Amino acid sequence: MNTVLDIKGLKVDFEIKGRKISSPIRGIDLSINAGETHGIVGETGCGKSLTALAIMGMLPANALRTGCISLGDVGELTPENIQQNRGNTISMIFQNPHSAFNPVFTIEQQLLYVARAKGFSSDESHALFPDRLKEVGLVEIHRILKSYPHELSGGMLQRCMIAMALLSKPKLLIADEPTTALDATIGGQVLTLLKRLQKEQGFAMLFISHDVTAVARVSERIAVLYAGKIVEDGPTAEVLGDPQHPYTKGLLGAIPSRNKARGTLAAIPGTVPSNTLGMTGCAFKSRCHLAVPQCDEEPNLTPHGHTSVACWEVRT
Amino acid sequence: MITKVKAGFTFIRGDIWTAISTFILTVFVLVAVLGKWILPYPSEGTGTANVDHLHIGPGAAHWLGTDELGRDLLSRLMYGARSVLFTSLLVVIVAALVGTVLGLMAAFFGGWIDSAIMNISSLFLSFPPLLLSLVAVSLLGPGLKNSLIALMISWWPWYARLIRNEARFVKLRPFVEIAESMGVSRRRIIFRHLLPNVTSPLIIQFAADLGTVILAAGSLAFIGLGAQPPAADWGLLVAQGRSVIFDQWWISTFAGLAIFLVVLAFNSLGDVLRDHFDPRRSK
Amino acid sequence: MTNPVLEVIDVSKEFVNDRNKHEVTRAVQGVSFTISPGEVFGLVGESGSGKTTIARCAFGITPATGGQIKLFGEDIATLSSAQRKKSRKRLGFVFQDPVASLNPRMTIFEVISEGLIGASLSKEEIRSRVEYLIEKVGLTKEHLARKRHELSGGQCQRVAIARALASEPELILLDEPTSSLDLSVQAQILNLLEDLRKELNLSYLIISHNLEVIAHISDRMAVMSQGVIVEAGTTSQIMSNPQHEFTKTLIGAYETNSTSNLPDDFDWENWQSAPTNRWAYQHVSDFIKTQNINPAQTSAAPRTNRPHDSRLDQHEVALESLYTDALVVMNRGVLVDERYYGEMRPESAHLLQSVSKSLLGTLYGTLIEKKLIEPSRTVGAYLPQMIHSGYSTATIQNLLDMTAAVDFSEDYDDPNSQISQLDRASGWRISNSLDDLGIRKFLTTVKQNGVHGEQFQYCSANTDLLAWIAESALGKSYSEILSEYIWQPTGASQSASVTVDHEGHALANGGISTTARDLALFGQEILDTYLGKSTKLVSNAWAKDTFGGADPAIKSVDYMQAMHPGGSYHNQWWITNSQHQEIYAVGIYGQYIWIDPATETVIVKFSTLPIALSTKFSEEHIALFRKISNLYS
Repeated sequence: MNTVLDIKGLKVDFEIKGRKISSPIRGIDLSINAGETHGIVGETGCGKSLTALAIMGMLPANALRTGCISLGDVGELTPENIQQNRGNTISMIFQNPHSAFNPVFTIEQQLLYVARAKGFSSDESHALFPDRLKEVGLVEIHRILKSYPHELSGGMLQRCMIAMALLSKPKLLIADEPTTALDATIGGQVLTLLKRLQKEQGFAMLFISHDVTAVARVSERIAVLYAGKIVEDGPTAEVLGDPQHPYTKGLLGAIPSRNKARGTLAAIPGTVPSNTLGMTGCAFKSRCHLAVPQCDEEPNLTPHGHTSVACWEVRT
Repeated sequence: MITKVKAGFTFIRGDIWTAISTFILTVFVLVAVLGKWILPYPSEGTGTANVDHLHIGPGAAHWLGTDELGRDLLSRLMYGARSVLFTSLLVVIVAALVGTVLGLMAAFFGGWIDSAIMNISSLFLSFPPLLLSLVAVSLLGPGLKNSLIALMISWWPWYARLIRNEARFVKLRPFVEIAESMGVSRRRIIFRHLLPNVTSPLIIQFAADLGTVILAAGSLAFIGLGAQPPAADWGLLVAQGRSVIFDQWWISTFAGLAIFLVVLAFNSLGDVLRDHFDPRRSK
Repeated sequence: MTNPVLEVIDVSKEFVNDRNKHEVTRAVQGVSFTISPGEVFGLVGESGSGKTTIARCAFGITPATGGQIKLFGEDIATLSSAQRKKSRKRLGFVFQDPVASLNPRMTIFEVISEGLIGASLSKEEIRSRVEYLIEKVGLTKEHLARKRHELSGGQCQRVAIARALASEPELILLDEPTSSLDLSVQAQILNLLEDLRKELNLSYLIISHNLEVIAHISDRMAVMSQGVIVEAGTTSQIMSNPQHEFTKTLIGAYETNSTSNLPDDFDWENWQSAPTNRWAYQHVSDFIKTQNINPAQTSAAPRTNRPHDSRLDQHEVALESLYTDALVVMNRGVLVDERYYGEMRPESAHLLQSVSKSLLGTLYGTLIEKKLIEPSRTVGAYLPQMIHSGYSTATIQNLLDMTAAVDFSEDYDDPNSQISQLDRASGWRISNSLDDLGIRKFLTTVKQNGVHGEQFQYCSANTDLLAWIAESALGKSYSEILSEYIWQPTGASQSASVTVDHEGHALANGGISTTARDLALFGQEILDTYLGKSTKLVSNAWAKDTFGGADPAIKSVDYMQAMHPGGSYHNQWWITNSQHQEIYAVGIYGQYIWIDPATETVIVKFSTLPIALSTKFSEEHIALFRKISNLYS
């Protein structure tokens, strides 16, 4: 068991002038082993992107983070040591590849910038780049190196971003909606690429997306996030095949498919709470058809077979 | 729109400079509106000479001194405020109206209408503003009315171009496209869809222009092509004090100071409105 | 076939570069498709495929460069501006970004009513129409005074839909209507679109890059790539049997590890027979839409022990040679033996095929007793839609006893037989045309050939027609009716399911799947009713009548008399008229419920025979059942 990422009790609050104004993350526990992918799936506002930022130490100035995030041999990640780990032992790839690259520099120049920051010399870098680009499935390497970001397609740029992220051979790769802005077929190729690279290089991956299908493709385990807390967590096949938490069931039931008769998609009444401040008990209770008085007390993640579920109504 | 302006004003309270500007403008508008009724020396303010009080400097009786015809300068300035404010309002309103309508048409119809309007605007815009006014006035003859016409002619192209560019972007937005697809009348698209969504830049430009036009009108008056004596136009007062600037320095100085403060205040207002409307609204 | 609302004929669209007049981009080339009234047509493709361009040309937003476009039968290029305006009123538009598609300066009321201006309606009429529309899309009158920044994305899209509906359109263009919405909000909007479509009989042209959305909501679809249609047809056809490489790649991009569990050798054309049936009969809901038939909420905890009667071990060889998947034997109300083979488990649901008919027959027993259905009334009296069909004058009892004289062949091997047509209509076989789909539509095409009530003729469609009548009489879906009157009273512990066609209507003649144990419980109830021990499902009188056989005046058929001299078919059960007075339910490929009142034995057998039917297999099964029953005499 080679645990690369271990998150315990992560909470993030936003405050203005010392006063708490919202709690976007209310308690997350997660661990990922080397060579494994753990997916986080949820809708807008559930806090999944904020989780990535919390790990990277890139939360906004008025955010207050509590809890413990530790990375393999490095130990606990603190504001002091996060700078040297960011882009080094932990890398991140983002949704919009165009926004990850400076439009006035060529790909080669940007890769050089990153490589030099990691301590590679100019010569070492130039020798390294063709292999790294080939690794991510790019073919016209020379042309791509000399191109500007706007000259490349979304799929190619995403591969360049992956190459850039993996330059330092990180222990942990965080992928935040990496295929959302891409066409389905290109996105599918990127997912296959990520899985292959993971197998070859052995990094742990945290895959975040609202697209359940994409998360399921690459993750061995899935955590379902609702209003800043994990409501269900377990092996992908079990969570998707036999969901326990009513929100998970509703979410999966909402996925359109030709096997579902029209007009019968699961429609969870109500909307995701925009601010959980002052809420007591389960954040989902106002939308849940199973809600009972006990739901006024917040349920914790309890084991249920191979998965963990945060719901009073799920009997073991 | 009124709520937006009100909201704009509450925003102003945050900054000392904007507070001062608001104060200046409030005073200015009040004076302009109340006019004759609050002049310390009403008859002098409106133009009656008082040869007994020539060359009196700033002091207790006349806070800003008297002008070359012995009239209380403060009263003159206060009386002139009305003309300054209303003339600049008139110019900007007319220019904005004409320019907005032409700009909307250019944006909506495109094609040769757009080219024609924009080319004419470019023609006007390529002249230094004052020069254009000069040419117009020299053709029409000096005087307040003609100088105003000249200013209007010089000013409308700014609005035409501004509104045309803004409206072109609005026209591309989905809700306009849908309205067109649904067969909504052209008139309705221009006035219910394009126009309401270009009011932010319009307001900003309007506020800033009020100050600029005051300066321009004052400049025209200064060189004798604008308001004529015995009008209390501030530019004119500056001009009239010019010949005695070394002895009775207060005439030109205070008149010029008045122009300076009001123009500055309007420009500040324009900046504040720009900050209020632009970054937050451009989502 | 009614006239199409939209015909796109060989349309192309080129864009000329503003600066360099020689540079021409061909966005769309030679695209053709039609949309019929009430249909949902989906266009799927990735960025740059031309799907949005062709849609805009079709709706007259952008002029096409080549080809012809007919809206409501008229070539849009030849319309005068007044005619174009009229045509526009019959169209509706819903675009991708719900927020940007509403004017931020207008109130919601003004947004929705914009389409009604110039329609010479009074202010009151406009107001009441807008209020009607806002509630139709799931919002309230309070929302009308708000502006777009006060609404969420999902709410804005509902407003956009209300606006599209204002002028009572017939055809609506939806360009990525849910792409910027969260999953659960998307589900609400898709459900809403379907409800509106059904209620207002709308047609949709829906464009999306998301294949799951298109496959879910479209009746027919086309796949576009680089400006051309690479594949088009009914949704079931394209999704189950894609031909073009691009379509296959696109479908593959949406498969997750856990949902692509069709075996590699799954055969769409022949899944009912060997070798595919062995797997397919236990996984029907993986490839056909189904609805659940729910058991009682407080059902007993599932049994964990499996009773075994070693006296049946001698029949293992026979069971294997008869391709058995499961065997359950009950005697005197007690479970005495259960055997499962291959992948089959006690919790596995297995396809019943025509055993499903006997559930309906029993259901009708209850419905008739409760006076919800009158057996001597005719089909035409219950269903006005069937007045012009061959079933019009057949009575309910005719259908129950299969004495309706209709032109219907049950030849499973003939792709043109009526049973094959019914299979296509219900989604069991791939259809190439939209005209093939729909059980009810098929039923209206059946022709009469003879006098009803005289001759026994086994015809599966009779059962589906009875299911339709039951739905119509009770106002509920077949799965709900079965649940209430049969499945819950039986005390079944697990949900059963029934396959449904693209409109959600059940295939009552053969689409039910249940566990072996639950089916045995059902058989036991029938037996107990006959023996007077229970009236949970039907009355003793019905059981006695059923076991007694059909009216002797009905002409029988040779194969029946050969196997059961004096036997008949009554109330959707096979009546042997033997010494033991057994009755049974049978489905092709070897599904049985065997009820022997003399030894008080109930036997359930699930099989996957390599062929549908043969005298040899039938005889061997009956011989086996009798041997087993005799062990308990």
